[in-house]
Amino acid sequence: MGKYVIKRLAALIPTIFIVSVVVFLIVHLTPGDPAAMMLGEDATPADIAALHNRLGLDDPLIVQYVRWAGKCLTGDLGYSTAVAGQSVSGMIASHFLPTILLAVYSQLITVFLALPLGMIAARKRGSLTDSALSVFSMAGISLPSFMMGMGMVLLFAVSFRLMPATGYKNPFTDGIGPFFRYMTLPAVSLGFIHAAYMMRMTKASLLEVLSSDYIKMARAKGVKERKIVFKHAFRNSLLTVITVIGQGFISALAGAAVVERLFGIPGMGSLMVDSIDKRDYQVIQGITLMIAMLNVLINLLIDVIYGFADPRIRLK
Amino acid sequence: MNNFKKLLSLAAVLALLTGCFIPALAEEEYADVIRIADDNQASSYDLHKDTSVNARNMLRGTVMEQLVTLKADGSIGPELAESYEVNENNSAFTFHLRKGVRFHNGKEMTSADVVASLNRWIESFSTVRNMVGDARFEASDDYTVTLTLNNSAIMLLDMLAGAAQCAVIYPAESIAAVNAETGFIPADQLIGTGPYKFSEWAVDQYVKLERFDDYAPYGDPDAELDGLWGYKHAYTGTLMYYITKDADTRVNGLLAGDYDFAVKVTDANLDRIEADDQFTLYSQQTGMISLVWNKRSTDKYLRQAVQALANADDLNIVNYGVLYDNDPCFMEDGQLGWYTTAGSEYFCQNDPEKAKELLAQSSFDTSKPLRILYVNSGGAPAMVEILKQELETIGITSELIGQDRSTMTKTRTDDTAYDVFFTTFSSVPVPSLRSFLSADWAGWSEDEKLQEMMTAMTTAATKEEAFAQWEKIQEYCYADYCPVLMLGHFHQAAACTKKLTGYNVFLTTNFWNARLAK
Amino acid sequence: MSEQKMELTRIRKTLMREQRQINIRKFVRSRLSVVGLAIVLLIALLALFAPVISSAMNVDPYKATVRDRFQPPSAAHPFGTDNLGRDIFSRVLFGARISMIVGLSVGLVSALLGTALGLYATTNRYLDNILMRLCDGLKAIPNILLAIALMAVLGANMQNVIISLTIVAIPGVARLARSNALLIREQTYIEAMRCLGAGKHRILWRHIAPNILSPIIVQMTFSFASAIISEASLSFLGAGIPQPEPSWGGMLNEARSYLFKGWWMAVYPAVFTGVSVLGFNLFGDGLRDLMDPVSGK
Repeated sequence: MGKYVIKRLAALIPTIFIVSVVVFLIVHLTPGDPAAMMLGEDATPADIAALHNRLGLDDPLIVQYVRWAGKCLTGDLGYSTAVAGQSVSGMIASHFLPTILLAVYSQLITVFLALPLGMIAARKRGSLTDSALSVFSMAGISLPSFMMGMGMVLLFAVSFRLMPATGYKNPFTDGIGPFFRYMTLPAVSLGFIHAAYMMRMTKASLLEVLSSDYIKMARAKGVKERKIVFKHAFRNSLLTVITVIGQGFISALAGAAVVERLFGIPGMGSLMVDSIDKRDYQVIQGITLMIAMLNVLINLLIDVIYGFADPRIRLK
Repeated sequence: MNNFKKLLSLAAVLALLTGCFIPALAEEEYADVIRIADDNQASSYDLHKDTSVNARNMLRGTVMEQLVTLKADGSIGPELAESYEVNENNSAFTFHLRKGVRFHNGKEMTSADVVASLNRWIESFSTVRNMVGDARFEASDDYTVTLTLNNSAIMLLDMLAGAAQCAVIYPAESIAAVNAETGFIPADQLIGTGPYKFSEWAVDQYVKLERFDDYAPYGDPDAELDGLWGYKHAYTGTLMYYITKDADTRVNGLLAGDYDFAVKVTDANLDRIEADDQFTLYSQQTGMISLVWNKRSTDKYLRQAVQALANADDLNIVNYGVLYDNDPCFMEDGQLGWYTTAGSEYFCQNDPEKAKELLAQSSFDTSKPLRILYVNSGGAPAMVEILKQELETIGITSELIGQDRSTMTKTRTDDTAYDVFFTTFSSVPVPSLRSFLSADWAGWSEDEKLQEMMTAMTTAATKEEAFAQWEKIQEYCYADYCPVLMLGHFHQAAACTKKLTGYNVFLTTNFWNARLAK
Repeated sequence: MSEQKMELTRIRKTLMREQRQINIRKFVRSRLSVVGLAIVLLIALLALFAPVISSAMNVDPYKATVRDRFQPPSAAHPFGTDNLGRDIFSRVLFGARISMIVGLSVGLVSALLGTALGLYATTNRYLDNILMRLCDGLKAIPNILLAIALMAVLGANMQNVIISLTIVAIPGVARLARSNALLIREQTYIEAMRCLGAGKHRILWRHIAPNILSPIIVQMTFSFASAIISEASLSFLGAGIPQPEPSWGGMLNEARSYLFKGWWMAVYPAVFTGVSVLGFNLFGDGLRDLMDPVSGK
């Protein structure tokens, strides 16, 4: 097992290398000038040129890449140009919490919504409930998160005035109550599309297990249907569910950009969009690298869990 | 409400009985924090370099102070200077510093700090650099600094008092601590002499300012503030600026009681605030709305034609709603010293017939589109869209070039890429800082006559003479040269709870003497 | 010999026709897929006839009338007007054109390029390694972030939206094509072909490609749907198709500032985005059940 993990970790190196090259190229091919953005509307060309020079933006691209990559290897992601004097790692750290809380909260909602519904749909296969649930899940998959979010804002914030339309509260400093009041709409709109997807996957994998021989055997032995679904079948379809949770987490991290902007949450997604606006090269590079890393690590984690559960996989 | 009244009367009785304890008692009825929803954060909060409105509004006079500052009528009052002298031909300046003024780090302010700060300010600010040449501030003793120029500089005092890149005084140690890579003073070295300390900056979340107990006030404690000048009480212990980029979020937070004050309230939200009698709304002119012509690719007849054609209301309303004025002055109405309506008969005339006549004299080829450059977010696209439709009525087709802000800022420096670009300008203390009048800024107002008039204004011997010259410049711009299509001024609206009193509105809103009833 | 061949061709054709009929019957029997197809066709028709319908209703998606700002839905403006006084109904119709064009172009181009990459990756180990690492790298960056960044490089217009969404979609298709092609390649008849001396490109395109077509087509309908969502998301973030083009996402982005003033600005483009994506998903599901009976049931 250890060997397998090491092998997989080594395979990540080229992926991360490619991500770094791709993001570096994209960032430096983007028109616009961080120095100009840094100095504001009334800056003179001479001032901009001087800052340009000081930031090392006049060097050849390859020199700039090597300089940046070398620093990254030592753990130094550089400094932001849009927010003077702030280290990129510091900025990522301060924007990480809202995003991660949002992702976790939305995943919790997803799991609590999707698993029971998926099981019900599997148990009552072919019934009216099942059809209703599949239409519901199909509709869910088709709703982009910002539409879902906007609809909920219109409904719960504008019409009924039950919840605030936008804003963010830190659960540690502002209290857990305000946190839930502000973050429930964003979390639901971020998680809904995935809940629909997860429900379908839960149902499909349960059905697959339920049609296997050992379940038939259990049925023949007279085990109660309820016990069959919850004890035998569900346990075996857990693997699929774990995968889906992992993917959901990744897509929550990515989808956060849109939801954070809609709800005014100061997370990594909105930092990324802002940084692109301001041509904050180092921050864009840092965040992308970081999210890509998270992404591949979560995937690796899923595979490792799989490997523990199913020895056939790690032998492949 | 009843309880509140009782409290008030109780306080009044107690105040009568024990006159000397009034301040202590009064303070107890007020909250110790004012929570302000700010719309953005500055990139550095280093006022010498950062030209952003956010940095200036938050810190000037609050955390850092200047030798001189602006009064409400646009005149200049001494702040960290006790007094100052200027020689007859405006070329030698002497400032006598107040004694016993302390920085937030406990050190007393002396001429060394002032010289270090102001010379860095000159180095960082090209307009002033051009004004003063090689001359720099010098200390003649611990409490006197001088600046001696080879030429006259009538506007130098205005710059020291009101430039967007503020001439604030830092301790010499802060100047020495400038980050070599970025050129900015690091956040923990943002030290001044003001009534509040810059105590914490959580990026993208908030800035916390805390009262500085050793602050040395000036002016009359019983008088109201005069512009930015006067006695600062610092009643409230902490000012929290929450960085809230989304306009709806600021208003939601205000209405929900999360904030006491919200900046930049948008037109779409005015109804919601007006509907609630616990809140007050006010607005003031904060900048001009315009399209800057590329003078290298257009002739003045085309520019005059569009000026004759434009309907300012239709253009402004789609972006600003009610938050604008059709005011022709190139300076804001609060800037009494420079306000003029010269040339206003040419301001957006909404006269298609005249526009057609002028267009006929132009060399502009109407078979080709007019290239309009703008930032494709915010309100600009809507305004440009309306302009495009207006232009069609006199037979001009438009090519809309919408770009993100960074790209647009770059594109507008390329004279072959566009004919006119949309932008807004924030307030400047003197007209010579209006960048669209300069020959080397985007749009290139290289007209010799204009530049001669500009020089005459900046080198005028007296302020009256300079103002007369300024009126002529504005008249000439409207009637003949048309460097910009002036559309008016936008207002910035702010809203706050009615419990907040004593805040001071001049160019921005200051909380030096503000109190929030509990 | 030739008679035998003709006979074989005839039998094959009959078999294929029958298979097709069975498929169609199966497809029709799954009602949801038919609903999906109907939605897709309806949106396509609306997009196609947007100019006709608009002029028949005497509305113009671009014409701004300042005094008609924020009109609620009425007979003259069935979906109301926006902050510039433009008719939202016609803007939604023209928005359907943009969504269809973007979806179709991204679906087709990414399927074509992705398949080509996937196929050629199977021919050479080094090429395979390079291409797949590149795909891994691109896939590690979340789609929407990659697309925003690409839009910043290319500049905001419809063509560039199509290009960046295509780039984002290619790695997925390439992986799919590759894994299916690897399976097919090992089959006996391909080995036989190779032994007979058939050319590399001929084998790839004439014999392997047709056999991996069905998963690619299914993937295409989903790419189509996700391209509509991505375009809307990009425009919503202000990095997509700029004003005054009536893209659904862009309309939603504008509506965001006026939620308290004109809810209709948000509701109609949102409903149309949701319904058309739903249509493509239902349709794609039906197709998948059809082409791959195992995973479907």
